Amino acid sequence: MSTLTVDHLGKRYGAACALDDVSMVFPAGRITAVLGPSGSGKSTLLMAIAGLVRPDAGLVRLDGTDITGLPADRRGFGLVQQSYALFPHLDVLANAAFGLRCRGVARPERERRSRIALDRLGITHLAARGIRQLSGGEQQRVAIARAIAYDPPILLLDEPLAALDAQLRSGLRAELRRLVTDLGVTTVLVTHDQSEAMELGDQLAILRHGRLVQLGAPSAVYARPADAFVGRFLGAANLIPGTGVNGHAVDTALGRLLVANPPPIGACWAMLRPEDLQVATAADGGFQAQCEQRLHLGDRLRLQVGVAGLRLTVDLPNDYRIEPGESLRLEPKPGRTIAMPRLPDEESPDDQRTTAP
Amino acid sequence: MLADASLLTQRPALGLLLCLPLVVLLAALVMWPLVQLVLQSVDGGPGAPWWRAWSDLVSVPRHRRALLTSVGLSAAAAIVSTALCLMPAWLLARRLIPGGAWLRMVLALPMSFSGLIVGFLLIVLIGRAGALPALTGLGSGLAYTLTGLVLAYLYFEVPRATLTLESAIRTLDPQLDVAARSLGARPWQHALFVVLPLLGPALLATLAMTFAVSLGSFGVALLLSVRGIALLPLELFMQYMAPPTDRALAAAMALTLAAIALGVGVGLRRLVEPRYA
Amino acid sequence: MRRGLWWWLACTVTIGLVVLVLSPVLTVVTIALMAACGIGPDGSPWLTGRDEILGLHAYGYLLTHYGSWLLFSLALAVGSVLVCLAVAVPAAWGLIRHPFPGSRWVEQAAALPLSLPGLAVSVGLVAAFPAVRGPWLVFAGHLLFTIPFMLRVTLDALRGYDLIAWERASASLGADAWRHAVWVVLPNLRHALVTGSLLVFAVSWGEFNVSYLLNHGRVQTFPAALYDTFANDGLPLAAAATVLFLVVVIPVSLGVQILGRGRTAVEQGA
Repeated sequence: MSTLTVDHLGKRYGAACALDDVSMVFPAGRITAVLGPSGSGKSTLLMAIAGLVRPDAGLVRLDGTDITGLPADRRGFGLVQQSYALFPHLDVLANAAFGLRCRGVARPERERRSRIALDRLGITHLAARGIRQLSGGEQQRVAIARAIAYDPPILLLDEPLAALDAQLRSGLRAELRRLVTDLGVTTVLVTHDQSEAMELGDQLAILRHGRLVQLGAPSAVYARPADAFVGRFLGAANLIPGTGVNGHAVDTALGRLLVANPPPIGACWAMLRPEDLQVATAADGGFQAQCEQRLHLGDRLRLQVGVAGLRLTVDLPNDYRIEPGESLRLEPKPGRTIAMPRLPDEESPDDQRTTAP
Repeated sequence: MLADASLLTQRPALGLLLCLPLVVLLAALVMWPLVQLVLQSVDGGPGAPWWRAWSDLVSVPRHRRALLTSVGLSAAAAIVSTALCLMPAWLLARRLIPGGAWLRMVLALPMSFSGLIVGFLLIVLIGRAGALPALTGLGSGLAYTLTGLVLAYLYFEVPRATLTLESAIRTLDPQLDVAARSLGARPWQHALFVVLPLLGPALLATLAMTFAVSLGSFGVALLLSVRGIALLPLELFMQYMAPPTDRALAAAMALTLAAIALGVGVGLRRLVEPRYA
Repeated sequence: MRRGLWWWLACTVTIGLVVLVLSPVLTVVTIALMAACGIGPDGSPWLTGRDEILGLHAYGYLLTHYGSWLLFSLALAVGSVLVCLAVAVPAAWGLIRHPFPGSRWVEQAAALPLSLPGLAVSVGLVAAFPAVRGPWLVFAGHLLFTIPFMLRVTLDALRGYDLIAWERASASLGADAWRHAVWVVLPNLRHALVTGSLLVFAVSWGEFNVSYLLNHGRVQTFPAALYDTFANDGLPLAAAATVLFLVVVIPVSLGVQILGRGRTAVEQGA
């Protein structure tokens, strides 16, 4: 099992900066999900690791060896592109065997190993099919089989599930996780889908504008986002502007909120996720809010409430009874509020501002 | 439901009607003359067997030589031009060269030149009193040799070959190149295992097209073959210019030219199509 | 391929081809200009025994002697454009929008003339219509070689559009068939039609193979005038005639190229 490292990678396209001083370790045998909005540089990072894009600065290391100068066809990594890019003039088996063929493996041996790869993906029965006759899900499996047939040390996946419909996606996610764990191959998964990243990643790397914003286990990044952007990117989040005071609280329009981490001095955000709010236990506890909208999400009730010029999203148990227009008292669950730095020009997001009193 | 809506408004009869003038023109100007040519070619003349003209075509040394030279030179020029034009076509299609639009314009220039012009241009350049011999002392009279002829064929094949190959290469998915490289394919493996098979039909089509174009070219032959190079289009022309016209022979020659050109095109296409069924 | 060995090789070959294409043209133009100025390549006056046609007189001579031929070629070219527009465009529309059994054959048959050698075609025409000689037969020959171009260009353009979706949109917005054709389809075809017309014009203008055989002895097309000068007159006159030819063909050819660029870009994006 191999460890992949990138050191201070930088890449510019003209005036635009695609990668800005990105350094991180991809632990051996684990899946690292690289997450970010479009234009965040995640695909560029993947291509730089694959050797298809030459970085302007920085190094790529495999088990400590510097491979930055190595061309793509000598790195021996497995790459699965978003469009799969299967060779239309070859059948499924020949596609899967392509990497082995380029390495000069004799035909019987490479067919044997390709069939093993196809078998791992559960598509041995498609070996003789032409790729034009395959469905989207089947094509994706062939693409993966092709990338793993020669036992690469690193597997690179560029939004592998993006082209599939939702049903197929959830099934394949679990399969993908199982496959990577079985193979024990160090995997880099690029995606813009946060639930996919959370489900598949052992480690999460958040990129924004080419910079690495946060790196950590999914639960840690979710519970302790480094800034407002990460907080909102990984899930719904209520950002309440306030001022940090005496090391453990933030003064906001909702009152003084106790925070779980030391707040920055001065302007900051208090972040509460919808599931971090509950109905106030004491009759005068917490703060009064007015219910503006109510959504039944099946497993929970999501309310949009207005309080002190802010609109908050609250998730309550699905048996709670309330009508739009009514008031209720809410309080944060203990220990869930997080404080985050706030830049001078950052304002409350549009959907969190309300003109209602 | 959506399919129904479009079927409702498709009127085959209208389509046929709109194509009628075209069909009439084709019938009158292609089918009918072809029929006439066939009939004339088997009318060997009073007292001669029906295959007289055709046997003359292959047995008379001059005619046979013309046929073989035409086919041979055209084939050579076709292969050379297709192979050479792959390079600019690739550079243009993949935008690997700055000023691609200008390059394309330059290479496409000879497209509308008549064979006459091409012949003349080459005479000016490398004829007996051409610019190149005048300036460097080399290549005097080159235009009138076999080499000169092939160069002339090359001249007006370059635009057609380049443009055809370029649009074929455009249809190749660049993501396939990425896949091939990531799978470990060296440049020669990439070219041999991926590009060539996918480009195969286009290459053959280009070969067929360039072959047909030079086989039938007349203006070039007229100007450049004064040194006694026998070419089939010229022989055909002579039949008409130097009476008495051997109608049957002329028809046979014309049909041969047409048949070879067509046959190569259709044959090459058939060769590749089954693979993509 | 990047900037490796293969790239350099490809560039070398490309430059070689560019030299091949440009040098004769530049040479001819230079000669024609020098003839116009009456100076030979080594500085001496370029004489061919016809002193009176040196200088710009060459062009005057050409226009007086072959003026009618020039006009004939222009007329043929314009006529070809008009007939192509009238015949090929509706046919293309019919083939795409209202296919009938056998439309594939029609399309392939229409592309046939392009694979046939011009000389064979003219021989065939003479054989088939011995009574009809002269200009009309030449025109027929031109049509035979130009219609496939217009047809192909129009077919390509039409294929790039979702015609059914347009009609549904037009219908839902209240346009009848006529309005739809004039306000929706034709404007989108405008580009293809212009490119096609230029192409047809260029092909007809340069057509020699068919025309020469069919019209021997009468008013000929301009390329035949070229041949006349090549065969009989001196280099400067022939060069001047070539320049006249190129002056018409090159702008038209460039026009096709420039317009074609935009078209392929749209097709790539569409």
